[in-house]
Amino acid sequence: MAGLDELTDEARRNTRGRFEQWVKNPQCEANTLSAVLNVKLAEVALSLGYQPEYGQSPFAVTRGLQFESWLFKDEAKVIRESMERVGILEENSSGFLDLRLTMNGGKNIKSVDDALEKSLQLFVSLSDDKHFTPPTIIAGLMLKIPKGVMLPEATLIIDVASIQRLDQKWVIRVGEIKVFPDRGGHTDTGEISTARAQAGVYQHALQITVESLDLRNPPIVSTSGYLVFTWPGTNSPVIRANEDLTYQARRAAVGFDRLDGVAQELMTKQAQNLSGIDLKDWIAHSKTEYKEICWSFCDLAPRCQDLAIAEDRAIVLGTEASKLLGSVGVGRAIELLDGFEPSTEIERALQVQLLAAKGENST
Amino acid sequence: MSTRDIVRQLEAVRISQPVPRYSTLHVRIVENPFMVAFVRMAGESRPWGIAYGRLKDSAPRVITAGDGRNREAVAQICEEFGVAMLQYFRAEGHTFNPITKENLDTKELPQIWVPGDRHVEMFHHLEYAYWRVRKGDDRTQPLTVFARLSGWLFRESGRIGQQQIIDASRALRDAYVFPADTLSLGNLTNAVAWFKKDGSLPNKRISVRASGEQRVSPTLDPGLDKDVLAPLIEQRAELLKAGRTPTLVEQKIHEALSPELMARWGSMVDAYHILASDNRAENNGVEKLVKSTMEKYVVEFQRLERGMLDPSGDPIFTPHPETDFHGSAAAAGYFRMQAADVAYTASLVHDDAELCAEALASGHAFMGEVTDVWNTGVGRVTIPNWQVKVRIGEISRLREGEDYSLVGNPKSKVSIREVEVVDEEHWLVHIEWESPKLKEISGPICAKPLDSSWIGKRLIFVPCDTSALTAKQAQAVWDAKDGVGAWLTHGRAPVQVEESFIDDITQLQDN
Repeated sequence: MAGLDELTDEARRNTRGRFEQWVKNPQCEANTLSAVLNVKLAEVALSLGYQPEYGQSPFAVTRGLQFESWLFKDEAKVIRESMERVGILEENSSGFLDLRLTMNGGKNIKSVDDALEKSLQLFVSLSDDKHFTPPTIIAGLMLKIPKGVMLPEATLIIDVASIQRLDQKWVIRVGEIKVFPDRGGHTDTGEISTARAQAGVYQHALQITVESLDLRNPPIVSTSGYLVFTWPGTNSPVIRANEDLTYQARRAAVGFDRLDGVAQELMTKQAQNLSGIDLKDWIAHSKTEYKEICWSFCDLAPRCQDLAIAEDRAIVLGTEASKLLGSVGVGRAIELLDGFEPSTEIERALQVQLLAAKGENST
Repeated sequence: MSTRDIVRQLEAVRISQPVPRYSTLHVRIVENPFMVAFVRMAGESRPWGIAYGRLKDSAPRVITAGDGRNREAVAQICEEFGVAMLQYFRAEGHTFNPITKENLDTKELPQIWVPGDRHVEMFHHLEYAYWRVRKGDDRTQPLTVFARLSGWLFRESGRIGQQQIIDASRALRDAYVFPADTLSLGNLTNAVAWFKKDGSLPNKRISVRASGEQRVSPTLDPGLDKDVLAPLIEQRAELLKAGRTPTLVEQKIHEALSPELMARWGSMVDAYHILASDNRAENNGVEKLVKSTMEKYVVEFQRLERGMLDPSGDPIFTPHPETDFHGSAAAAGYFRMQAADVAYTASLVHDDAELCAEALASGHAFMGEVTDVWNTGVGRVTIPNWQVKVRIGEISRLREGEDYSLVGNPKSKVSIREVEVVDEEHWLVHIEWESPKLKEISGPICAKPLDSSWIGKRLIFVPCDTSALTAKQAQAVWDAKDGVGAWLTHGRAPVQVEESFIDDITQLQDN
């Protein structure tokens, strides 16, 4: 049984992943619970007898780690050169702070608490120490989201951040590192938007963290960030600079607020102490909202499809069919197509549309 | 997806199997095409293994690299595959009988099949990997030429109506409507299973889903990576570290990758046979699309390769895999794509009742009854004119000055002179015949446009093929380099690119 006391470092750093999972289908109660309670959907699927599919290849994990370690090798020489080339940093910049945990390829930081403390020290120094010369690049900056967003824990690690002096203020800018190839105009738009959305989550988290610290002279969190991809087939970074994260950060703000609200509501409803509840069972028996997109992230998708098939729901034909047919089942839609008498106004309107489209077949 | 598509989906549900989308097939099914399937190591972009060959070969050739990250080993398999591709495509310098403008024959269309869109993308990755030539390098090396061919194929794959690279998964989705969601059909094994499985629809859905557990994308199942391949790769690395030859382990890796490649190959061959055994005829317009495809191949690939063979070593324009880095190149490319889009529907709609109905539903075509026929020519000149009564509900995009063809007569051209509102339901459309004026046209009757027997006939008019005009605009873009606003439209690349590349663009502009 999964419990709240089973938090590991890995789970704690999964906040972003949980948020992004929830955003894919916020209407689904099971998905929301999984994100809020930090219980993997794969575990729930397994408990219901479905074989989970979503996992990462060890080769992909190794490649990601190798890429990051290459970027940050020798005081972040490789990424610094690229950042200077695209204007994120000025030429001949210096200073690198590595806050990555040793388990993630870092050198000195052994625990999450250590990383959080060093991150806090950095913010305080930027605010209060006039003689402080900050590093220009920080790897693994770690944040504890202050509002208690999402239960039971909300810790975020920013892949890379950079610091620059602008108009007497320190400006922090966030970056997202992805190992997938940047193929210019042919780059997968879905991958770019995912990376941008994740950078937006960082930007928002950094903003609220800095605000919550109530510093005398707080650093400015830039609304523009950058995405670090690879040149196809190599470990050379390709940086997309000046990515406007305003709307992505707003999306994150709204999302976190909503998720927080849902979390509070769920907890209120569940008067008992959570430690006595089988969380997997709770998720498995909550309401679901099956959509096509579920196949891209949720191990419960086969179970939900089975239910949709059994209930003859239009979603088995896809999102578009589901939008048109609404609550009318597939079998009933065929009857309407065959001229059966509609029993509701909704059915009547649907029949008009279907017959009009069918009539065009015979032109 | 239109309501019409959803009605088709419901029809597919009714018979528990896919139904034809159109009345004809819109793709040329070559008798013995070249086929290829790739697998790659997760996180890598180049192939780890390749299965390739001709459909009628007894078995495909399956080649793998010991480690998908080893550049030399991967280059070796890519080169072998590349040479076979260059020979099949009768590329300049790699065959005794290259395809040229003079010997172009649409019956000899080189066509390559891949299982899905990620395999099409692999050609782009291959271009990235091997296209670069440094000063003094032999630019006619097979791997480099293959990279350019890969780039050509990848770019061509995005042009509507092209017939040279067939994504089997997409070809099935274009030809049939399935009683399933589109996302699941992205997996070719799912789409193919709909034709193979029997039983009630709910049971069929479950068994189709089970078939889809076999991946078709080049990336392997993480479970296979974790349980089988990762330990083998580790063993291989240890052997190399100890200075021993990893032949046996590499053989095991080959044995693990081969079934994966063969599964992808098998699904692709199944898709081919489904389409090849379809009862529908090839659309008459496909011949035109094939000719256009081959002409483009000659002009945009073969011509450049002939230049590469020139011993003078003069710079030859080589498209960059990423982008065009040039406003004019982008504009010309846009016009070429737009021309392809126009030509596609205009070529096929005359021979496909379903496509025609779709054009009517979307307002791109219109239907009406001829109410009057008269001549506005003076003396010996004949200018046939018709008045057509059109129900307003049937049209939405009709505008004065636009050109249409009478369906079934692809070369015919009429121009809309005037549109007059009769009542709440009808418009009177005055059309003037531009071509033909004196020859017979076919429809419900065969008669000249001026024949009064057309009166009372209900006819469909579809958009005229104006692709030639749009294609000319592509050239006009380059010709406008000295015109007004050239500082804006013909500016150089805003980012720093290779010097030789700038030279190539300049050369192209100056010619």
